[in-house]
Amino acid sequence: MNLKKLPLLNLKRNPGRTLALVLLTAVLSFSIFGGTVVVSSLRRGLGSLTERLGADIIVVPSQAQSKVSFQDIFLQGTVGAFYMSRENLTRTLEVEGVEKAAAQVFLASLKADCCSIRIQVIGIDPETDFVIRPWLEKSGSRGLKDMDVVVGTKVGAEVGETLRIYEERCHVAGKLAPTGTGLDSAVYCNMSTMKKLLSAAEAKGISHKVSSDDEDVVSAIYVKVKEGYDIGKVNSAIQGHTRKASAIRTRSMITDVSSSLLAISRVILGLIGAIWGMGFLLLFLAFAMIARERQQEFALLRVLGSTKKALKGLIRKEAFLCCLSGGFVGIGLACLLVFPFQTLIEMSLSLPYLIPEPSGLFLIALGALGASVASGFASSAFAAWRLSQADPGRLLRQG
Amino acid sequence: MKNKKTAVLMSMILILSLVAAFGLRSFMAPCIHEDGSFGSCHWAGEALFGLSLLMAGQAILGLFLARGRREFFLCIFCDAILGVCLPGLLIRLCTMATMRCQSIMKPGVWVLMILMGGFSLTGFFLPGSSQGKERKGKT
Repeated sequence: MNLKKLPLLNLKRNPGRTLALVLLTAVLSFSIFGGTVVVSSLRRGLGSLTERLGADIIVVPSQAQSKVSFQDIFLQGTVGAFYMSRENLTRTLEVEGVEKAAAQVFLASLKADCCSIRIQVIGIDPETDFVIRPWLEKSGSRGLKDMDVVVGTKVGAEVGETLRIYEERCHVAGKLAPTGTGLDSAVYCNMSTMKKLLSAAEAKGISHKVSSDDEDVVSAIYVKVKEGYDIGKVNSAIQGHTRKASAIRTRSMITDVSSSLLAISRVILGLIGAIWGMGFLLLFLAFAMIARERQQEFALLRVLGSTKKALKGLIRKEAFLCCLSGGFVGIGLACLLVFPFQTLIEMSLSLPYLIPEPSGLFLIALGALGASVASGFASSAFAAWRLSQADPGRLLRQG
Repeated sequence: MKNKKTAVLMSMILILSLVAAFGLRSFMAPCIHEDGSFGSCHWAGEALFGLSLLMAGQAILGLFLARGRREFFLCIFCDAILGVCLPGLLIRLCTMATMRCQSIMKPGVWVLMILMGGFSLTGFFLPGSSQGKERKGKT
């Protein structure tokens, strides 16, 4: 008999035992791969949020802190609107240390034609905007003309299609790359389009807090501080210089998100550790029991001329085959849950969530597979050593 | 023994198709609007519900008619492909990815259909699935 084929034949001969080992390793790789992907996605989401904010300070109306929180709009995609006087933009620009400031107007409760969905429409001034424009350029859109909109990645409209908002046909000029934040569910347009949408809504008898004639309101002012100036001091100056508005340092917003992320990451990593520890212990016990059960089989192989090294190799190969297939099964199952349900996970966590790039995912999968195989090897090492040390003559005499 | 394996696979498909049918009427049901109206996702849900029942029926027939089990596996595999294509590709769902039909119904159906497709493909290639025919040929 070819000894090279023996591990595979052994596994085939005992399908129940093989299935149990494969499932046990599948649990290990499932927890490692699934947990690591979730933690990495949260970290990438935070990175994306930091990059996307693009401003040092955000000025919002004081009511934005108590009503629909600005943070909720930004992180969770909650549809909301709040307004303050445009005069605050001029006042902000007057503050020493402010390099540039751009205003945005939020519009809530607009219903698209499909499924009565509420969409957050954000009006920007393409001339002065420095927050959204770089992302628009990255997405390949050639600016925002009248009745053009750029949609977030979670809005199910493709470039070139028409999005009907209040019976107004808006041309989708671009689709932004995913950010993992609530802004993925927003629609961006210029101020002129925003006015038309407001008029259309008013014509339908739906009143908004801001009317199309009212041009002196804004929802948020994004501020970039000049280099060399202390952001904290500029923030305080803006706070004192503007009316009925709060200046929020983006860093504090990110710190809030970061601490929530850290807490969730710790829980997930703790769970991975616990599952891995239990799985490893179970694998160790399983291999120890298998070794005890197969003592005579191995004694016979020793009598037939197999070396101790060959027997150790036989157990290791069996462990390798079980752990490799279990690793693939676990990763496959984790893929089936983590990727299709990513929106649901993001909504449940209420944190920025952005799945890593394919190359990153490949590395995580490789790591999970390696960890599963390594744990299989480690847990079978004791069994292999014990079997190779046993006296074959004594074992066969015992019957 | 091999026939037993295909029976186990067929039972798994039966359970998953029933979970899909039940889920589409409960925890995976598409978006429900306040005013009672519904969008195209409702029809996607109805089509998927019908498809799930069809797959459950095929799985029951496959369990009892061991001779044609291989053909039933093939039918279920084709149904599973249709099930994956139905939400979003053949029948449009709601605009926003955050809506129930996009975030729960579509991924839920995908997972169940992929699992059923995997089981049916395994069953199709298992030698035991054509055992009935072989037996028929011998007699």
